[in-house]
Amino acid sequence: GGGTSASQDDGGETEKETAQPIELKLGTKMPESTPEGEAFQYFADLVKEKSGGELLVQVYPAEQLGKGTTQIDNMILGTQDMYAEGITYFQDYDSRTELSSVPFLFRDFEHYQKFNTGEIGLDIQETLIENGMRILNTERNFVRGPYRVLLSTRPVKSVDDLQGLKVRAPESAIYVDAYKHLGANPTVVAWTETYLALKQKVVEAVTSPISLVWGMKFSEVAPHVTIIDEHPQDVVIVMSEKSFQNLSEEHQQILIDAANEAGEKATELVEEAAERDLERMKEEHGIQVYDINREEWEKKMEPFFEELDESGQFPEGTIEQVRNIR
Amino acid sequence: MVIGLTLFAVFIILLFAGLPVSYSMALSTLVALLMGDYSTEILSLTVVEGVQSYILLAVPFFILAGNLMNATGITQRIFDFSAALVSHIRGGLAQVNIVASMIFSGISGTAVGDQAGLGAIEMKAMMEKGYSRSFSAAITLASSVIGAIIPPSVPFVVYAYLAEVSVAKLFTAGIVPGLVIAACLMLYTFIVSKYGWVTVPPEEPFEPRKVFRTFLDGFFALLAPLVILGGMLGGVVTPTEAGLLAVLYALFCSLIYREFNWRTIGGAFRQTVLTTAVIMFLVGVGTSMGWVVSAEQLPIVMSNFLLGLTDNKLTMLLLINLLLLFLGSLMEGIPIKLILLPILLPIIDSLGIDRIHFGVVMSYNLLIGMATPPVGLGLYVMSSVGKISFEKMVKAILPIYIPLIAALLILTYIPALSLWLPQLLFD
Amino acid sequence: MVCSAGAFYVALLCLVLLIVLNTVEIVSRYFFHYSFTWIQEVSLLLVSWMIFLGFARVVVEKQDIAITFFVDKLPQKYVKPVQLLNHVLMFGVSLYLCIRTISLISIQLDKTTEIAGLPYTLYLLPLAAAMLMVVLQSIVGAIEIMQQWNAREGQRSG
Ligand code: NA
Ligand code: NA
Repeated sequence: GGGTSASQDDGGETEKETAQPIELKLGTKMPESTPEGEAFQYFADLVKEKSGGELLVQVYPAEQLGKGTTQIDNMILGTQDMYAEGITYFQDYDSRTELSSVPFLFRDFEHYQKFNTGEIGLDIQETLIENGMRILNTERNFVRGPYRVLLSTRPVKSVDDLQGLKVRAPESAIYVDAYKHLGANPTVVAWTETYLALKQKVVEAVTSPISLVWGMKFSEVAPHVTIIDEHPQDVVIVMSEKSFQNLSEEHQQILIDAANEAGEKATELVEEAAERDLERMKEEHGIQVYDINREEWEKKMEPFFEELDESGQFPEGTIEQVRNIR
Repeated sequence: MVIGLTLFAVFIILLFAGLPVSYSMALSTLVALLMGDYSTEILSLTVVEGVQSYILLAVPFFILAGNLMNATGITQRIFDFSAALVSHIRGGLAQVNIVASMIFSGISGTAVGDQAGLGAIEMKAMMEKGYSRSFSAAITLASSVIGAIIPPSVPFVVYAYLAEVSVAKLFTAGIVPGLVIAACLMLYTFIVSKYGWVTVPPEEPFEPRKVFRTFLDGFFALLAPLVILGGMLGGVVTPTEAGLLAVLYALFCSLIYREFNWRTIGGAFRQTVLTTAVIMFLVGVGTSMGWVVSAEQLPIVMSNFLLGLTDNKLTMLLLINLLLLFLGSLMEGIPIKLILLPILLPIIDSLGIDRIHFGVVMSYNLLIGMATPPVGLGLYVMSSVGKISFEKMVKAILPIYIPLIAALLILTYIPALSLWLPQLLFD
Repeated sequence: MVCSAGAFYVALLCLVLLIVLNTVEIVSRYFFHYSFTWIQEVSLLLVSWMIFLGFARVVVEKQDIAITFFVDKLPQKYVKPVQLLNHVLMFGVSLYLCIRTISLISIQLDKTTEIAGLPYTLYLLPLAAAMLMVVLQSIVGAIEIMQQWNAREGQRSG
């Protein structure tokens, strides 16, 4: 499996440590050439450097080791050591990870980071460990996106503009319900078909982290770009607890430090890329960029939050608790 | 590396020993997993998750559409119209055979659907007119390839899913290449008939009235491709739902033509479940095999090797084509895509080859493999449909590789043939 | 075989349901601007059952793709042993896969799909069932071959 155990000779030299490095498999979703992909490679390089070559992280980009759920199962089965993605992939183990995709629940990334590193966040970390997985980047600073936009065929500046708008929805119940609550008409369409769906008006809008827009050419067919950042996103580098415990304490700390440093680096990279992309979209696709009055949208979401708190989907009072984090 | 080589060695041995392709893949994957000290649950996991794609849902629909056309006599109407249209050209019914496949392709998504249904009609007609059995079978097999190039197409759906490109875009990219392949085959038939290299009965006079009559008789059947493509490009349906539209339209045609019969339609459903099960089980097991290949880092080794040979786009395409033709003679198209695409995609991306263009080239190349011994599924199907021995079938198809390969080269080196239409419609 | 025949009807029913459900989705979306978001997940579940139960039937009807070209070329006395070996291999692989699938089910009991909240186990179950049916079928196939073999040996000595 993941960690190749150092083999020992039959001879009398059992004391002598073999120089065999420990290999760790890290599966990711994004291709190598993206800012996220570069950050993962940066992580691998850091680990190698810090451990003097004793730990070797091998990155498997672009879902080479399977879809998200498969890779998580792989970690639990001990077939791969690490997986890096959004926290919502872990909702089978703790439903509270889904809080991160509730639109307009978090004010900004800072709020979101406080939540992740605070009481609830740490509790989620504990649950994951009980289930055999550990989040390495404890500072939760690996920004994805760095922010989310809504691209539409007509301008969307206020909640009113959203009424009846056919929005492409991913396969997420909360997302669908939330946009229905806002008055939109969510339609589930595969990510790769979204461009055509927009072009052919099967849907009229899509939400996406800004980082993915240019590659998907969405702005070509939906040039009205609203920065809604309805839920901040981050990437967690998660490691199989079994693989983690097989390592020395020194090696464990190296991984955690490297993961946090990679998070910082990633944030830098995605922010640069986002600015570059936005410029290109303005030049080549003639996009219009709008900001929203966040309070208006949050207010509209109030009843939804109350419903969600009462639905029993999350432990009672959780939503309130999250909103009160200052 | 050792594990990777063992994987392929075990696979080939089992395959040649007559174990079903799916099981040869499963067992060789299992051996590799055990050797690599991986958890073997990964096999079950990837088999199940490999088929969990909404895009692949189009596969049973497009197979069913073809089967329904065959079961309800709509295929016969397409053939009659084609006969009226082109049997006056040198090569007569052989030309009809090609044109009929072209039209039939507009609703059926597989080459096998063409061979088993339309193929039987074409064989019967050609034999009655005095064409040789081997030439009839060969031209039927070669033209059936078009069935999976002109949209809808099951191989395209699978490629689009794996290469993460839009199905609708890839579908449109297949239209012109399908016509190019047909043209190459028709030109070949014309030449061999004209110079008497193949003895063919004299062609029949052209009768405009017959064209008009068969056109009216087959009107709704001939409209099918427009309805399906139109539905998809017009934004009414997603590509998956276009498959469903094809099914509903075929049922609608059977009602219009009063050919609706519970027994034959039941048979079409039955055959669809079996064919889909074969294809999708291959997709599932192929996903597992592809997983081990990736985990063992073979893609990087292989692509470094290929890129080390050349960084010229044209030479690389030639190399890839040769590799695919070779593998296509040994394996089914779907597992080849599952295993090879992780290797090939980074290469073609880095050389600036369009993924859509490559999808057309790769899918067509692997369809030729279907007519190549020893592992050509089409050869087996046609030898049973055409009542001809496997050896004779192989001998008969040999000369037709000339137009098939010619079309492959044309499609490989003129990307515009694939890309012009999608660019026109989508960009 | 009775169980694979029964299973095959379930697979057929899945295909019919796939058509009905997705037709409802198109009609509803196009005419009523309403999208049933759970239909995709249910469709994939139906696909899972259709494929795997269908595959059990494929094995019974010997419709799976296999390369008989080389085996057919073998000297007559080797053909039956090779065929027998293939049945033994299918038996082994299917049994193993069945057991692994069940063990996978046991660790994924709590897992559910994102929108409809369907238990993930439901997606794995048809694979386990199909593999069990192939196990039975390969025993039947092996017995058939041994009977043919004995019959021929009998003729030869008789
Ligand atoms: Na034909
Ligand atoms: Na077709």
